[in-house]
Amino acid sequence: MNLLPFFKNRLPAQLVFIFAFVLPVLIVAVPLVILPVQKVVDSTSLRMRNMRAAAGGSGGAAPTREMAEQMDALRLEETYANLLLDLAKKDSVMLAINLRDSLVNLLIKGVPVRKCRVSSFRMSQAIPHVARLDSLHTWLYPPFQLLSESATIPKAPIRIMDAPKDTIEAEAMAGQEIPIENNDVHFTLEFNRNLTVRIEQEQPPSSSSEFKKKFAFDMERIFAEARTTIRNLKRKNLPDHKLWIEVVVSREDAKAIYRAIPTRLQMALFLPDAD
Amino acid sequence: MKRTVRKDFRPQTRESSRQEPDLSFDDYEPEKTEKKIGSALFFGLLFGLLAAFFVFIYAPDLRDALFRLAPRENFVRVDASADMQLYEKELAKAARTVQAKQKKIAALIPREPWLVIDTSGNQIFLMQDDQLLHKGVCSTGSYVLLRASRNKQWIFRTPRGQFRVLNKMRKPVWYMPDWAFVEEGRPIPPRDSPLRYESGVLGDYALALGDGYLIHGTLYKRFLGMPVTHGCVRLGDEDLEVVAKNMNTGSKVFIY
Repeated sequence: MNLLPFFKNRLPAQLVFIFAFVLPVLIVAVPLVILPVQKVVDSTSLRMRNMRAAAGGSGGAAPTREMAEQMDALRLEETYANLLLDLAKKDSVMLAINLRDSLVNLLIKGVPVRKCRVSSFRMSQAIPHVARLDSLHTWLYPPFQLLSESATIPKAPIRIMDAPKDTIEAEAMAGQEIPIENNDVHFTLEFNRNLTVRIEQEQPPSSSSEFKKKFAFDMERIFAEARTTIRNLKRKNLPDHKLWIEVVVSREDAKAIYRAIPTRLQMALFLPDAD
Repeated sequence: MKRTVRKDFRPQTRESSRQEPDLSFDDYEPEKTEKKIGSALFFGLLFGLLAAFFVFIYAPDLRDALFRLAPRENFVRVDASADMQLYEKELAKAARTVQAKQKKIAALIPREPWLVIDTSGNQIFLMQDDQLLHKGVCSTGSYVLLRASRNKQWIFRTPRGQFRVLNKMRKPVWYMPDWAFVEEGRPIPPRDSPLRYESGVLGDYALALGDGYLIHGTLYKRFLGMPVTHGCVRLGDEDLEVVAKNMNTGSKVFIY
């Protein structure tokens, strides 16, 4: 590639500007953006090369591609069924996200007690890469374990009240208004195996204060990720790319899910079709 | 020396537009050029650092965008040495296994009527198999933490999980626990005091779930749909009637 025409009429000042601009961007972008992606893509293609080598056979009446795809789909369905059966053994409320049927289910002892319709969802572009790996089943099974959570609403809306001294004070307290919760609901669940699930309400912000709260919540998430990146860089490690799924449900559903899930939540995930 | 520039209004050809700019060494001013390079370096670094900060902050999103561009192979593992007929049998076996497991999952849903209580929306759903029989409003725990003293406090929340109806009572009488007196600013009577018994406040039926938690009626119907109770589930008269008629001792209640 002849770059001479590009540089021919450039003034030295312009070249210095471009160089000075690009240098810090590259210093940050290479270890934080390009190399982590390269790592995942390389591992995927390496695995595929190995699998291709293993697949070379006699060339007789071999199973067709459709049959192999069908087998893959069945294996995935079996994995999801195994996950649900595992969750049925637990006593507390559990979560099942079925992106194929656009449903988020709250389960108690395997019984779906609330079915929340997913209005839309997005997921990390890295997931389809991982999903192509043979290790998808080991990523999905056993159920994901919740590590931490954060939300724009409190987990339990606890109000502290001191006991009245006498009946007169008790009567005055009984006349107090019951606070009605009307907050917007957005929350993030961090699971093991590098998975983050973000649940968003489909309704737009109900007020400017709720919008600010959501903005602060998003900023907190971004800065938390930045802190993790710094920690990784200090240990001379490339940052791991978080596999995230963002699910949009109604405000009522989001609130019900967040309030219901226990701290030791386990989750089953069923990914949508590849294309 | 001041140079006058004359504008050329003739249509420019491709050749003329490509012409080298007319530069001569007479115009060269090293100080001015150095100054320009200095400013270019300063502003380049300034904007570069600013852009680098945003790259750092939004690195996960940028990585995701890059993954979109990365080549994706539509690869399915096919064992070419496998026999097609055997593979077909394997496929049928796998399909049967999936069906069996799905049946097992479906069998987890109770056959007799079961009740679902949503504590965040204060709603009840009476179900039979996976069909909705009745939907109604209720009141659940208020999440009030009542502090009587440093060592004595109660939190009024409805427990979550799977329960069973342990006992179904008609015209129940309420045995008032200590917090009911503390909350009203009254002295706590002895455990066997007749002051502890109050009739007519729990409605026509009460379904016991264990640990003192009940599904019962209420006098405060205006509070239905709100979290106001001390942990019990309060229903309106009609909803209570339907629930009590369909639910028996041993029926499952799911609270979330």
